[in-house]
Amino acid sequence: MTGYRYSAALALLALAAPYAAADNGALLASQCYQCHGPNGRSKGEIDTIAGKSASDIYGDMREMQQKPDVDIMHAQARIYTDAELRAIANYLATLR
Amino acid sequence: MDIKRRNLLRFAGLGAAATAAGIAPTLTRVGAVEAAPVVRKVVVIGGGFGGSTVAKYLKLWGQAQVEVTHVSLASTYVSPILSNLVLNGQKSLASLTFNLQTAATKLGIRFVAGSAAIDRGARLVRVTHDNGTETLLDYDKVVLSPGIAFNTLPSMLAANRGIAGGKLPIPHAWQAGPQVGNLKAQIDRMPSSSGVFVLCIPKAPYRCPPGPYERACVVADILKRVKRGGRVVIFDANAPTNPADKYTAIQAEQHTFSTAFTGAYGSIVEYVPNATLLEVGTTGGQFGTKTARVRLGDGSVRTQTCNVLNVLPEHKAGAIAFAADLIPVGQRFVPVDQQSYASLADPDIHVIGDAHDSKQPKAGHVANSEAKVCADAIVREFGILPPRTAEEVPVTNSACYSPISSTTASWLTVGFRYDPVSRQMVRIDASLAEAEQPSGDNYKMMLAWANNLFADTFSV
Repeated sequence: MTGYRYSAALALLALAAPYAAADNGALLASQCYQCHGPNGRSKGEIDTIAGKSASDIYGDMREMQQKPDVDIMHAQARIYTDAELRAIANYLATLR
Repeated sequence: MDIKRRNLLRFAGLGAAATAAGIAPTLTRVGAVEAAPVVRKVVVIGGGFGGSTVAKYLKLWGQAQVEVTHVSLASTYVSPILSNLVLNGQKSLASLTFNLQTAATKLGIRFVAGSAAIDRGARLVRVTHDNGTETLLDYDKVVLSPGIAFNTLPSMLAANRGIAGGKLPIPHAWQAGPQVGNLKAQIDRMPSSSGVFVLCIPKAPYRCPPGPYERACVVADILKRVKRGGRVVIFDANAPTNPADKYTAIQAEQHTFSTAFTGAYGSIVEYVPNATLLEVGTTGGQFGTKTARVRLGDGSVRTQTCNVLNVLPEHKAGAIAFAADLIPVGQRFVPVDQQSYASLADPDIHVIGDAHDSKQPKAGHVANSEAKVCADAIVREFGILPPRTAEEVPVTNSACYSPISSTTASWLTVGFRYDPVSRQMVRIDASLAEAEQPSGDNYKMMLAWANNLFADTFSV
């Protein structure tokens, strides 16, 4: 029974990617798309964030979170917990 | 523990829980082990930012296991976002019009145009088409995003009765479409240097907190640049939070708008808080003379004559939410479980966007944000994804840019997080910020923001 569930879980993970990681990453990252474009691919002057390295995205967000700048992205960064920033960065890094 | 390992454990845990509960493990539904996956039916009602986004993400995250039908009054939707730029000629209504049928085809969902009614007992959505025929849709879930309706003064109803939106003497122009074109035509016909534009703002909550003040700035800019003078009188029903400073009645971006009203537009804008609209009047039709009678904070009554009278009436949820009996007597918006947007009156009807009741603002960007939380909650409730953990609480964001003139804009942003104790989406104060000053860079970013928001929402 355990083996059955385990293999089914593996199959589901394979099928589910890239639509939804099993953690909260897909939902959290989707909250970036209003400004950064669907799947993190921007149509204009705002940065594309899809496919950047997880460490770059996480590092940028952490830096903005900690600086007092009056800036729309600095304010947005302050919305998230550290775990949420990691989930967002990990998910966006998987997008191509 | 790495993420993959954690996920596997959680999936295994879900399978065990599902088996223990006596229901088929979700995992079989994807066809990995057994065929014949269960397909859940969701009917999304509403073609705006909330409805269009939730339809898209339900399909994206539910894939073949969710059959999405998107219902809207018309096959196109006109965005209120950026529609104040129709007034100064920088945008056309056509450029803000999105085709819902085209989006549905791209996404692999069904689109049905018509007027919807929900029969909760029979679990059916009845759609009446323009030609009188009906389509019946059965559902596992309904997501309702009907936007706003108005409690309009009897005198305003009387002045506008029987007249099409494009010709109304007293437009609200707070839902984009013909009324916005009408308002532009009325502004265009204002006389040089001596015209008066009156804007009446209702008590909060209303759609787009900075929107009325943004509109006042865009009109003041037109009067200043094009008409070489004139006045914008703002009657705001809201009261100052600090009685010594009337500008503390402004509902969003107080710094930006009070600076504009006293600085760049100081000779044009008169801002009057605590002003309750009592009655309107009109002579001469669309381009005639109008009057607004308001009761002021000191109890006195003021009558203002003007060329253009733009009244935003008190807001309430779209009519279908009342017809479906989702709103308690005496309330105007739908109470929901703020983790999933399930109505407190019916857990299989979720209500997002301007029609639901929470502390989140009523606006298109945050409706898109709520729609994703709602789609995620439904997909998880269907068992397509595992339940959220205790740490995975809903987080949403609101962000917008407002034109302040034909070349500058400001911005505003704030985030919300679900608080399990109060069971509400609560504002994250550290994330609340507004632009230090309007700028040309912000104006460019406004257009870039809107293009990405439109792309994410309407699949353009």
